[in-house]
Amino acid sequence: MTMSSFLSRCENLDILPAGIIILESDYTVICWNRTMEEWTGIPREKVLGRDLRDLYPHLSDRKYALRIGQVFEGGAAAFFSTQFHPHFIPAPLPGGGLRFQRTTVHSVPEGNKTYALVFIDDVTELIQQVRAYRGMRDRALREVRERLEKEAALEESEAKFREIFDSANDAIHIHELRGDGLPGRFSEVNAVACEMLGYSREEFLAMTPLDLVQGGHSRPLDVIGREILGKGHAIFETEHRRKDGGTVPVEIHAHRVTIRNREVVLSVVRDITERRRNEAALLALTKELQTIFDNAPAMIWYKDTENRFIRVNPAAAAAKGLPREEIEGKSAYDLFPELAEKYYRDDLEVITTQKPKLGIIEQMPTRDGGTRWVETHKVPLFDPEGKVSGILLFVNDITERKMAEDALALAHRKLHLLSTITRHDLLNQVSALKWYIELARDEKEPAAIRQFLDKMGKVLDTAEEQITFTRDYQEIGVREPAWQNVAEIARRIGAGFPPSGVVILPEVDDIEIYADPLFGKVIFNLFENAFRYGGPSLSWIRVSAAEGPGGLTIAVEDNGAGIPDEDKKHLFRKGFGKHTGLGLFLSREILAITGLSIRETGVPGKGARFEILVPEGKFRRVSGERAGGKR
Amino acid sequence: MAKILVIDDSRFQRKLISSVLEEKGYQVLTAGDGREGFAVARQESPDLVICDLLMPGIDGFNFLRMVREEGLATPVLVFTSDIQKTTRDICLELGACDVLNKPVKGEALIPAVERAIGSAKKS
Amino acid sequence: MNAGEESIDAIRELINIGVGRAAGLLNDMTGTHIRLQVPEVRVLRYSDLTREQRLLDSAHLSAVTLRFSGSFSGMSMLVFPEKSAAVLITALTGEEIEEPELDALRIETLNEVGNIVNNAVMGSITNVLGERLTYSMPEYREGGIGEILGKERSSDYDWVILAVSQFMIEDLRVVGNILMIFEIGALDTLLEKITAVMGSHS
Repeated sequence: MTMSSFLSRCENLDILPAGIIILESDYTVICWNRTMEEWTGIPREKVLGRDLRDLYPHLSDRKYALRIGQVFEGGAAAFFSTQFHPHFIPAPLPGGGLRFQRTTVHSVPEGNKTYALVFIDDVTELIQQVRAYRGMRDRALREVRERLEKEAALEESEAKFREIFDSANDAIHIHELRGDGLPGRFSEVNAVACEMLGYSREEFLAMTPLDLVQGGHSRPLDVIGREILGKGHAIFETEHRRKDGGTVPVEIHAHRVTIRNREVVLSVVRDITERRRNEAALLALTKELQTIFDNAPAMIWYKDTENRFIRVNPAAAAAKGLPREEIEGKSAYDLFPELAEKYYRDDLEVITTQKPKLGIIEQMPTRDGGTRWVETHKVPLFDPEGKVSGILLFVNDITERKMAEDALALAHRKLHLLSTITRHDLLNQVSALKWYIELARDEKEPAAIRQFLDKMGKVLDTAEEQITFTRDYQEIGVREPAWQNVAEIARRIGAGFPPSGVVILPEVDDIEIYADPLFGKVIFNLFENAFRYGGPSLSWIRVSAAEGPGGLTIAVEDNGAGIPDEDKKHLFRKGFGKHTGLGLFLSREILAITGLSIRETGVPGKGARFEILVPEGKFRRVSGERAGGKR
Repeated sequence: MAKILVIDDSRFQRKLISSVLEEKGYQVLTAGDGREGFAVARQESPDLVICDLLMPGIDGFNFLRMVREEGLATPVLVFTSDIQKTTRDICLELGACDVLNKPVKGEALIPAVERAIGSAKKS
Repeated sequence: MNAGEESIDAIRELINIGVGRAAGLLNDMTGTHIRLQVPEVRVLRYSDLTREQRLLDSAHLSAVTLRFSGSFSGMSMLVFPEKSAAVLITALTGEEIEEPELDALRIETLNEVGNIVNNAVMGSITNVLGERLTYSMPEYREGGIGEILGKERSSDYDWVILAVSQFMIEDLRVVGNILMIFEIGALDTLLEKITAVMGSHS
């Protein structure tokens, strides 16, 4: 192909709507078609033969030069896209702006030369369309994506909600909320809700919560409504009516929520029947326990594990003689300094063994400085972990019972004594009576017989007296020990003996001793023994008392014959003695009841001396007035 | 005559460059990557290093960094097929004395080599 | 056939030159620095190509192809795995892209990228070899590798040079695979010529 044929071809190229340029390898323009003239406004006469790079210097840039250079070297066509090269040859549009171009540069070998054919498409309209389409599509896509995202989120939250809704253990009501704060129609309820009240879902949806309420709101309904409107939630209790007429107490957690763009109230409704029942039972139990605690005659002490009193009941407080509040919180070391250690030992045993310790008999000091006998049960209290958290003490005052028991034992002993004494004394009188009868039988002299009869009468009087006395004994025997004035008893007993020239000397001060009521009988026995065995030398019997380290010693001594050494060993044995020996045995027994003892310390030939030892606490001095009798 | 170290992972390129240089009477040493090249450069103290950029292991960029950090005085001429302007800037910043793009004909390579050696001697 | 290590090395270098030049052009056009990596070059049988699962086993490949004929004939193509093409376009144009969808304009843009790479690689080869080849117009194709290659012609092909070249644009990893497919006998011709050129320099 020659240049002329090229140019003739250019004529043909004029009819194409595309812009066409043909270049020699030095960028000399040899063809510039009509489209190019139109686009650029540059007639071909002004372009042909010129270096295109002079007209359009950007084509010297490497990004064009390298690629166009390859084309001149016979390489493949270079393609310049609209995106990267929108204005290969800038061409203004009538309405402003530049035409968008898509350019291809072809290699056209012609003989030994290679030309470049630049083919430029106007894609302005296409670009505008694509851009419009892109904008539209992007907007649509964005909208679709946003909607999808929203729907997905909504779906997810709805699915979650539905799951919670259906699997909840509590009833869930969703209902509308009216402007006045009162609840509107139900819009959804879960299966638990239906089951709880016995309505079907459809029945529910035709009602409002007001159709369910029975009363028993913890707050007025409109107050609750305003709370939900204001704070967004409310918790309250009320009662719901079942379809079958029954009532279900419920606790409601109501929340204002937005579901599908609507403000509704979501209420979680919990059946609290069981809770109410438990609460009532617990209340009753608590009251019961309080009543027991307050009214139990036993003392109840509730201690911690460190010997401190946490709570005490009125009985305990009364026994201690302090108001409850002055006991509660105090340590045993403060309240019972002397016994605290002993108490704590028992506590520790309970704490370590975790088992109750029952029937502890111990003493407890009282407010007036006295001591009471108590029986204590210690029971461990456990915390939820199973550790001993405290000790409950049930304490009974057994002082009375203990004395009663002691008295019973005494009575028993005394009854035994009584029968022995009575038989013994009566037998003595019976012997005397028999003896007088023998004498009288042999006596002829009426006067002498009369004498014997008189004596027999006296014996019988004595026997009668003794029998009467046994009645006294019996009465006395059931009585408890008592404080008795020693001097007084000595004087009274002494006066009971017939005048014989023997002087009774009660040389004791006003001393009382705590002894069995039969103590007088002891003194009687000692005096009688003195008269019986004193012999001719007997002229006085003295009763004296002296305090010593072991207590008080009451001495009953005389100036009679005394007791031979060999007799002293058997002196207090039952059945010993010239008479019967029963007296001293009995005396010892009587004294022993209250812890008194007796011994004989006289010197044979100089007189007998009986010493009654009264231990500390069993004697007391009284001043002037008459003491003794019942406590 | 000057001693030139050619570092290129392509044997084809090493041969090509070597033959061009040797034709001009240069003594040519070669290395197949940056690591080997660096060892040779330290040991032989060549008058010029011609270094490729894209190589496995220690590439041309890292070779330049090592040369600079070790304070080697030898000028490094980067000879790469990567014709990006940004690549050229990076190389010069890393201390390359010049950047030449492949493929290069002998007539373009030799003046660059002479220029590089000349400028190194002057400084 | 056994493409010798030296030949592979030479081909790799030629492709390197082409890619480097393409990167330079793209860099000039967009101002974006492209980090290049040593291309991985393999010669394999055409029939084994579809087994290159890592790179080409996708039904959504985008390819810009360039046919050539002359002393050796075949096809050069730049192949991107799914979405890489759109990502590349976005990165190069700085366009805010809502959907990585290739519309006509974007396909055109990708066409230019492919054109730059294919031309650079082919130019690099023909430049060294001093060959002149005839080229068809670049074409954009989409689909699986089979669809891109055009099954009807597959019997004409025997050898394939697969060059995996990664473009990294601002930490955005875009893998571009350069595929050169030679008609039967064409690779031999290429290798012979390369050997001849190398020999002339040694």
